[in-house]
Amino acid sequence: MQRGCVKDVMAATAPLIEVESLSKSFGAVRALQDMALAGYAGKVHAVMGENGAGKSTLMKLLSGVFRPDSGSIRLRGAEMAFHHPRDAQKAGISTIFQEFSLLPNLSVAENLFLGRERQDGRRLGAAEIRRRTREALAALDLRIDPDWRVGSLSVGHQQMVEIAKGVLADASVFIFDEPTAALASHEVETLFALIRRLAGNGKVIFYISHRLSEIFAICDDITIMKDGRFVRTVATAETDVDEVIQGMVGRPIEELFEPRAETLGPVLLKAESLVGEEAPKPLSLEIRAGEIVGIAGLEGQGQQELMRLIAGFAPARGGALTLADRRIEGLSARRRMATGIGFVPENRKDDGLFLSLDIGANMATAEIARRRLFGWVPAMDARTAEIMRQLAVKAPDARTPVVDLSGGNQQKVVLGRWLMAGARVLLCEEPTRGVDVGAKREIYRQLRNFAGQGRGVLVTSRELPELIGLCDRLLVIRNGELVAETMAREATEDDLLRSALPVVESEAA
Amino acid sequence: MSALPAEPRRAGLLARFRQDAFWYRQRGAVLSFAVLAAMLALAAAVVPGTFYSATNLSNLAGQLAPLFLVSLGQTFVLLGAGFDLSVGAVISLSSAILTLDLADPIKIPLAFAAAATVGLVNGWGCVHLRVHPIIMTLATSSIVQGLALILLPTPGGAAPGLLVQLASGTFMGLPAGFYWIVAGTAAAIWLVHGTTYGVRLYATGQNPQAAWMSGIEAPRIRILTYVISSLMAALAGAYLTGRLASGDPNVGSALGLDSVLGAALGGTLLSGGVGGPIGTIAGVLIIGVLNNGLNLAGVSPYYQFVVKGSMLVLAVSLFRRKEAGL
Repeated sequence: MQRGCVKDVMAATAPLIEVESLSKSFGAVRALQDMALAGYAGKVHAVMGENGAGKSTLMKLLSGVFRPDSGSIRLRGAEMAFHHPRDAQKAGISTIFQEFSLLPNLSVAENLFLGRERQDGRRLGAAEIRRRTREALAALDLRIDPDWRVGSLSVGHQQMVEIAKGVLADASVFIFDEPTAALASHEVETLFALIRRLAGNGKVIFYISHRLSEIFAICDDITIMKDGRFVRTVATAETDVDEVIQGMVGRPIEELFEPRAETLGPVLLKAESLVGEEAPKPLSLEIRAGEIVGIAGLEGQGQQELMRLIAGFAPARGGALTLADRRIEGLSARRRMATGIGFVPENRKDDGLFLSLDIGANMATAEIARRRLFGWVPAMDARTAEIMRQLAVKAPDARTPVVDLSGGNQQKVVLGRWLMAGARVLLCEEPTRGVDVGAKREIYRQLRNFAGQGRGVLVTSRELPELIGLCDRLLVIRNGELVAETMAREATEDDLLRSALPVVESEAA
Repeated sequence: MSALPAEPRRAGLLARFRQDAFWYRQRGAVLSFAVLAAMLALAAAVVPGTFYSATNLSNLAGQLAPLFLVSLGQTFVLLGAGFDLSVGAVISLSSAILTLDLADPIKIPLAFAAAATVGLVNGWGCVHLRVHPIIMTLATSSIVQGLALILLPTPGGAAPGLLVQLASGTFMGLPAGFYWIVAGTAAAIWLVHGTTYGVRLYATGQNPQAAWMSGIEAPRIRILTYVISSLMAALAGAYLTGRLASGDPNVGSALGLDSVLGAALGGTLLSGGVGGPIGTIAGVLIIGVLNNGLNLAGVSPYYQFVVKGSMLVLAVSLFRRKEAGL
């Protein structure tokens, strides 16, 4: 209600903050070109685009982290030049970064007044800082002791403290960069209520997120970016999900997935009553050549334990695991990989890649690990180049450090590693986590190609539509047990969710 | 609006250490003081008459003053997630400068100016050239030690009369070293706990990038830690020179690593942002009481090295961050 009124009043007025023909390059990469954006008081404005579309660059220009090459940022009609994040904060732009800029070893009060312990030329006493912190927290309905260490608070509370920082600074523009990425669902509701309240008080909110449902739940306007350029700004009420995705990707959503396998080969990998220390319930499954099998389930139902038991990171305590007629349950992870199991971990950067090494070295690791210690390194340049071409890795050559690649391209490097090592079955945890829509499509295509060459893929994912679209067959895991099996072409999100929910709840529903 | 539930106030003293920001940062100090108390009690039991004699305690204060000063300086650097290996060489350089054939009003400021310059170079190299602190200060340590030996190839020279007076004898029944300790400690505690520099230092040491994004001049804060450390080293050099009444180009060599030992034993983490000068008091006293007690108990001084090294490993493994990302 409140928002509606403000909207009508403000519709005719000038924007509070306006960005015009803003450009920024990093070396040869043009991160942002001719960007335009206008924020009106009292409105929540979504900024959308694939990873690498330039959203973060734009927000970092607005918050003074980077300086623009050209173009202008105007706040209430006055041209701004930020040389330091402090300049933007003083001008009234408060950014809640994806990775919090809070200091976990400091108290809430110390964090809120960091760098602003002096006001009007005098130093604020500890008591006054504490009092004003309490006021700012109370204004947000937060019951937190100002003396508490920020690192001891929940993620949701930490984010609220970030917002309190903006409230305290009397900011007029709030930028939220993927604010819900780390929040639990009840925390998301609190955050939304808070955002609505800030908008109700006439603040401008820029909201960056990949989650379309959130955008449609909370935003008044949507600005779409692609390749560092402005695409269009639309009112949320006058558009829908498909149109927004099309604007971001340039193609409709159905085209994300490749056609499923038409014929399947013999069974490649077979687990029979496999038991491990962390997976005490016997697990049985089969993967055929050419097949992509998905594991669906609520978070933390034993997906990771299952994958790691098959990969061999946890020793088997019973049961059998067969890879193309060879019993492998007694082998170490290293030996299993040598016989043809590939593993793509969920946490790409920590567990999957050597960020400081180049593409070639990252792709070579699995192949080299199969060989003797102190053996000659085989010539792999031609093979690396071939795989890079096959996977369409966007990089000048194999000497490019992996740290410089986008999430999607990094994922391709991990995939390439197993192509190079000749893996026959790929265990893939959350293959598209943290990559944008365009790169998702690429990854789906590569996984399908991988399976198409007579190999098998086992995938876990939190996103049901992704599993349904990508896989041939789905297994549902609940509390460490595989409880349901369905062909992906007949699967619906409803049915999968019903099997995935704990028994008591699903009976009640 | 649907408010988040209040963060529960956790019960118990231990939980308080985890939740309250101040006590979280000082938790190492609490442990160190407990260890120190145990050692003092042990000394009372094993070598009561000799340890708690006025002569011994007075000697102890005199011996410990330089280590106190450099450890406090080192504490600043460690809090800022740096490392200063050059303090030993800076002590030696200031000793060499202070015994040059110059007038006192010239050479005393000169010694401190030289130390400040070394600190600036250290900080500038670590922060702006992004050289790893260990490499940077190892390099300057070599340069500075070389300069000290060039200026004063062999021990000798005359110390400024003022320093000889300030560093020897007793005042109101207490040894001179005691006053140096009190002055240095008070200054360090005031800087860390009484000024905005302190909060900014904790922030910068924890995460320079986040501190910068919060509007803090993180590079300057870090450079300043090296300057403070070098100035404290110069102060230690001044004390030693006055106490010996002559110069020695190698007088600081043992103190470089011991300064890290004192700070680390006091609960200051080498990863930055946790600890502080209060803990360093306990850390230095632990080293002092240990050396002194072992001496009095008739243990060979060579064992002291073994014990010190073992304690460092123990302390660092006890104090290390238990929570990921904190």
